[in-house]
Amino acid sequence: MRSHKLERLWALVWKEWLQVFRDPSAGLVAFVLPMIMLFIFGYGLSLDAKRVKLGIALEDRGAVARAFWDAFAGTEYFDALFYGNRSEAEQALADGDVRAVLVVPTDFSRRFERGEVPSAQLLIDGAEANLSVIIEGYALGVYSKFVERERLERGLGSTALSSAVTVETQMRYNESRMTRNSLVPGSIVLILAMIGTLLTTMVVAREWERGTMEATLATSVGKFEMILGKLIPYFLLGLGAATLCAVIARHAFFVPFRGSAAAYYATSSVFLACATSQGLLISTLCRDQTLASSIALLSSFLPNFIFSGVLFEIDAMPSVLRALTYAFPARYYASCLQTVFMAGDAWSLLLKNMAAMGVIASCLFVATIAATRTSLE
Amino acid sequence: MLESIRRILILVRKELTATLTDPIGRVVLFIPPIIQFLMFSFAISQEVVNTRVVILNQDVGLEGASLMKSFMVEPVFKEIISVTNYDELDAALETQRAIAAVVIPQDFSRRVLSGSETATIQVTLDGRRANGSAALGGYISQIASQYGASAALATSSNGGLITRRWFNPNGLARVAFMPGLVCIIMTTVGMIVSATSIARERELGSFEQLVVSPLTPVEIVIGKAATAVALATISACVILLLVVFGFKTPLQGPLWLFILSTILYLTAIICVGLFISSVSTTQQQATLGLFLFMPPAIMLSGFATPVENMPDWLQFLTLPNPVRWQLIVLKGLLTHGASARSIGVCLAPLAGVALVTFICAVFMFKRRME
Repeated sequence: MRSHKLERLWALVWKEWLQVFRDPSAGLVAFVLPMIMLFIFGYGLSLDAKRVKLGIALEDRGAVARAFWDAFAGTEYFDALFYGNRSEAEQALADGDVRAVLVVPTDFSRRFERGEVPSAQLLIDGAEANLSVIIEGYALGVYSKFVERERLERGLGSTALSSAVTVETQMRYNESRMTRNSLVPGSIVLILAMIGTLLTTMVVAREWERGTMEATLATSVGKFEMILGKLIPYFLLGLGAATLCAVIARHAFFVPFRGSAAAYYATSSVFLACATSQGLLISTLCRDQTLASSIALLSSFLPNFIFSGVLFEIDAMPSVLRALTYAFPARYYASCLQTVFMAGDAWSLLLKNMAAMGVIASCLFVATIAATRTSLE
Repeated sequence: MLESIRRILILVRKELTATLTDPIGRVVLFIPPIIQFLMFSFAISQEVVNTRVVILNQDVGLEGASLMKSFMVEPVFKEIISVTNYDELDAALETQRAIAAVVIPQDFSRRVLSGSETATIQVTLDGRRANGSAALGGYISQIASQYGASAALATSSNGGLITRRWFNPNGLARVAFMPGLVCIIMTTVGMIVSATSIARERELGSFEQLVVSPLTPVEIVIGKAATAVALATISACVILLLVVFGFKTPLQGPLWLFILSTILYLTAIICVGLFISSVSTTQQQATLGLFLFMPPAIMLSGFATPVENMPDWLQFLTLPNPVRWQLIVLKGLLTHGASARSIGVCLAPLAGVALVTFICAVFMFKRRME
C-alpha cells in the first residue's frame, strides 16, 4: 500500500517536472535569472563610497584658503569641483551635480592668520543617509589634518581638534571591506524566492485557469500527495539554482565560503519549503494568473527584497513593520547565508533561524492543505 | 490619417472598457500600488539607528566608564551589552546580538589623563552587515574622537567644520526614498498593465479577433500603449497626491514637468512591456520576462545604491536605462528642488528610449502577426 502511494507520488513529481521544462521560460528563470541577479548584486550594487564629488565654494582667495582647496583636491576621497560663490555651489548640490558642498567663507584666511580656528560649512546631500556619514568622516579627517599642519607651520601650537582618543577599526568576517562579499550572498534570498514562489505561482495558477487542475483532482490522488507532487519539483529546481549561485559566488565573485555545504543546503532547503508553499497557497487562492502574479510580487519579491536586511536596515523601521519582518522568511535566510558564506557554521545562530523558517513553512503548508478543495463547486 | 486616429480611439475605448469592467483589472491597477506605497514608504531605510553594540571595558578608571556613557546617549544605539571577556564579545558578534564590538583597553584612563599620550580603543564591526557596519564605524569614531577632544586640554575655539544635511534635514529615510518609491511603483503598474496584455489575449483566444480587425499592427500597438499609459499616469498621479498631502512633501517644480516626464517614462516602460508580451506565447512567459527586466532595471538605476559607486563600464551601460533618468527627474522634483534646466536635460534620453522601445514593440508585434 505504502509503496503504491510512493509510486503515485513519484509519477506526479515526474509529470510536473516534465511540465516545468516544456516551457522554456521556466528553465530561463531557474538558470539565467540567478546569473543576472548575482551579476547585479556583484557589480551593480555597491555601498563602498568611491571618489565623492565635492563642490568647494571658495569665497576667500587668500593663501590659506588656497592651501585648504589643495588639501581637499589632493586627497583620494574627493573629486573637487570649484565654484566661485555659495549660491552656485548650492544649485549644483540641488541639481545633483555634486554630493556635498564645502563653503569657505570670505574671512577664512584672515581668521586663520589671527590664530583662530576658522569655521567652514559642509553641506551634504542627506538623501543618501550612509554616504552622508562617510562623507562627513572623510571631510572632518582632511579638515583637522589641514588645520594641524598649517598651525604647525606657522608655529601656532595644537588645538582641541586633535583628539586624545583614537579608534582602531577592524571589519570582522569581511577583512577586505568589499560590500560585494555580503550583497552577493544576500541576493540568493531574492533568487530562490523568485524561483520558489513566482514560478510555482504562475504554473499552478495556469493549471487552475485552464482547468487541468480539476482533471488531476478527479483522479484517485489524495490532497496531500497532490500538494507534495507540486512542491517537490520546484523545490529541487530551487536547490539546483542554489548550487549554481554558490558556485558563481565563490568562483566568479570570489566571495569566501567559510561554512560547510551541509549548512548551506540545510538552510536553503528550509527557505525553499517556505517559498514553494507560499507560491502554491497564492495560486490555490487566486486561480487567476494576472492576480496571482501581482500578489506574488507584492507578498514575495518585495518583502524578500526589503525585509531581508541586506540592503535596508530592519532596525530603522517603525516597530509595527519590524514586527512584520519576523513573519517573512527573508530575514532569517539572509542572516544564514551571510553567516555561512562569510563567518562559518555558527550553528546556534543557524538553528535558531532554521527553526523560525520551519514554523513559517509549516503554517503555509497547512494553510495550503486547508485551501485546496478536492470537490468542485 | 483621420481614419487611423478614429480606429485607434475605438481600440482605446475597447481596452479601457475591458480593463475597467474586469474586477481583477481594477484591483491590480490601484490596490497593490497603494499597499506597496504605504508599506514600503515606512520600511525602506538605510539609516543606522537602534543598533546594539557590545562593549568590553577593561579599564578600571573613570574615563572608560564615562566613554561608555557617551555611547549610551546616542540615538544610534538602542542597547549596550556589557561583557567581561573576549569570548562573550566574540559570541555576541557571531550570533548577531550586536553589530559592533568596542574594547576599551586597561590603560585607557591613564593615557587620556596623561594629556600627552593618545589612548586607542578597538572597534570590531560585523562585516556581514554591509550597509550598517561602515556607517556605524563612522559614528563610533566620531563619538570617540569627540570624547577625546573634550577630555584633552581644550584650547577654547569656536571653529571647526559645521555640517548640515540637506534635502532631508530631519534624517527621515522615508522622505529620502520617496522619489525612488514613486518611480518603482510607476514601473510596476506600467509593466503589469502592459506585459501580460497581448499574451493574455493570445491565451484567451481574442487575439485572432484583433488581427482580423481593420487595425494595422502600428495602430494596435499605439492603441494598447496609449491606454496603458493613460491608466498608469492616473495611478501615478494618485501616488503623487499621497506623497504631497499624505507625507507633506511638496512638489518643488512645475506639475507639467512631472506629468510630461511621467508620460515619456511610462511610454518607454510600457513599450518594453508590450515587446515582452509580443515575444511570449503565454502569460507565464510574459510575467517571467517582466521579472527578467524589472529587477535589473530598478537596481541599476541608483535606487538602492548610487550609480557613481558602480564600475565605470557599468555606469556607461546604465545610460539607456529609463529608470535611471526618471529617478533623477523625481529626485529633482520631490526632494532636491533642482532647476528646471537640469531636469529638462533628462527628458531627452527618456524620449529617445521611449521611441526606440516603441519601434521594437511594433516590429515584434508585426512579426508575431505574420
